[in-house]
Amino acid sequence: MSPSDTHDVHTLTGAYATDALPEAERRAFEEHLGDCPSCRQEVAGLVATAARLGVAAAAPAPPAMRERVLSQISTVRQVSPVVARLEDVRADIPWFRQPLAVAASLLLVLTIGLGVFAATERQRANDAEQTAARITAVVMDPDRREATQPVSSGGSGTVVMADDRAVFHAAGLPELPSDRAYQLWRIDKAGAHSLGVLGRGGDRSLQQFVEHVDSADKLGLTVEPSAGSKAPTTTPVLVLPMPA
Amino acid sequence: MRAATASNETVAHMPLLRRVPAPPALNERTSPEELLARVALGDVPAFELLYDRVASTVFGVVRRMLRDPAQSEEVAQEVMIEVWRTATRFDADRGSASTWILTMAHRRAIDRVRSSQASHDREQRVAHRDHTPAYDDVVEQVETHLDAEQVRRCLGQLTDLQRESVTLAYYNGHTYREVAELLDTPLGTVKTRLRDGLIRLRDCMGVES
Ligand SMILES: [Zn+2]
Repeated sequence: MSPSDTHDVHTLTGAYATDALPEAERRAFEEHLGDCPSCRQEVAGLVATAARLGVAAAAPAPPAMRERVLSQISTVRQVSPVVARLEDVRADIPWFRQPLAVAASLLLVLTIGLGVFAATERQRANDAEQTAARITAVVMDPDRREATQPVSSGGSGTVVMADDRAVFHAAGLPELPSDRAYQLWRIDKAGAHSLGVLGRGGDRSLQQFVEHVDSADKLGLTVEPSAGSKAPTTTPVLVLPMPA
Repeated sequence: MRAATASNETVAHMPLLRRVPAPPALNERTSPEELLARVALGDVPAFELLYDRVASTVFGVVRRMLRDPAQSEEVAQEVMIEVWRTATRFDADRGSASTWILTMAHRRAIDRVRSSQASHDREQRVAHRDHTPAYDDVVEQVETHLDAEQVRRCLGQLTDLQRESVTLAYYNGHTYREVAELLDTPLGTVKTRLRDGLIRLRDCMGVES
C-alpha cells in the first residue's frame, strides 16, 4: 500500500459526489458525513455540481417510456409522507396499513402544513411536527372512527377519533370578511368550550388536534369576531357528533 | 369533570389552528420543487409535468453510463417510478429537485454498471486499458444546449488529470480505484483530483455551496 492510500477522509467528498466509492467505502463516508459539518456542506455543493454534469448529458427519452411510466405509477404505492417525515411514530404504524380515504386526505394536509413551517420558523416547525405526530397517531390508529358532514354555509367538516383524541378537519369553507373568523368548539353537557380560532385571511381549510374528548361530545363551528368569543355568539355552521 | 381542553386565553392568540393554503394551479413555470411536493401528494398531472422536465436528463445520464439503449431505457424508467414512489422523501433543505433526481439516476445506473457480469466485464476492460477517452466522448455527444455548453467550457478549464478523473468516474461510472488504474496514477492523487476538479467545476458553474 502506498502512503496515499491512508489519505485524509475529508478528501473523499469528490469521489463520493461522483459515486466513485465502492459500496462499503460509501457507507463509511456517509457515517463520517454525519459527524463532519464541513464535509456535509462541501458534499452538498459537489453533488449539485455532479448533477449538472448529468444534465449536460440529456438525450431525448423514448416516447414509449413515458406511456409505460405513467401506466406503471397507477399501480405503485407511494411511500407514506408521515413515515418519511416523522421518525418517532414510524414504529407504531404497521407499514401495510393503508389509511382510509378521509384519513389519507388529512395526511396530505398535514404534509403541506409541515412544508410551509419547515421553510420558515424552525421552532414552530418543531411544534408543528409534534402536533403532526399526534395527529398522525390518531389518523393512523387502526381503531379510529370517522364522520363527515357538510358545513351549512359551504364546505365540509370531518372528525377522526381514536380513544379520547380526535382530529378535526374542515375544507372548502367560504371566505369571511376580515373582521370575522371561524371558531371551533367542543360541546359537552356543560356547554361549549373553545378550541381555537382560525386566523383572518382567505384560508379555506383548517385542522385541529383535540384532546380529552368523550364519545358523547360534539364539535361545533361558528363564525365569530376575528379575536374569538368566550362563548358562541352565532348559530353554528356545523355541529358534528363524535363518530360512533 | 375532566379539564377543559382550551382556556379562554387561547382564544385571543389562536395558537392551535393551523392554516393550510390552497395549492396554486400548475403551469409551465411551476418549479420542479413545487411539482415534486405535489407529486408527493399523489398528484398525477404534476408528475406528468415533472416527467416532461426531467426525463431527458435522466435518460441521458443513464445512457451515457450504460451505452446500451434498451438497458438504459429500463433503468431510466425505474428511476422515474422511484421518483413517484419516494417523492415524499425529497427534502428541499438538502438540495434541488433536479439534483435529487439526477443523483438517483446516477446511483441506479452505477448499480447496474457494477452488478455481476457487467462489473466483471469492466474489470477486464480496465485491465486491458480498453476504454474510450471519456472527455472526447463528452465533447462529441453533448447537445448544443446551454447546460452542455457550460459544462464543456468548465471541463475545459480543468487540468487533464482532473478532467479525466471526473469524467471517468461520473460519466463512465468507474470507481476511483479503477480510475487510478486507468490513469496509472496513485489512489490518493485520484481522490484529490476528483475533489479539486469538482470544486473547480462548481465554482466555474456558479453552483451554490
Ligand atoms: Zn470531513
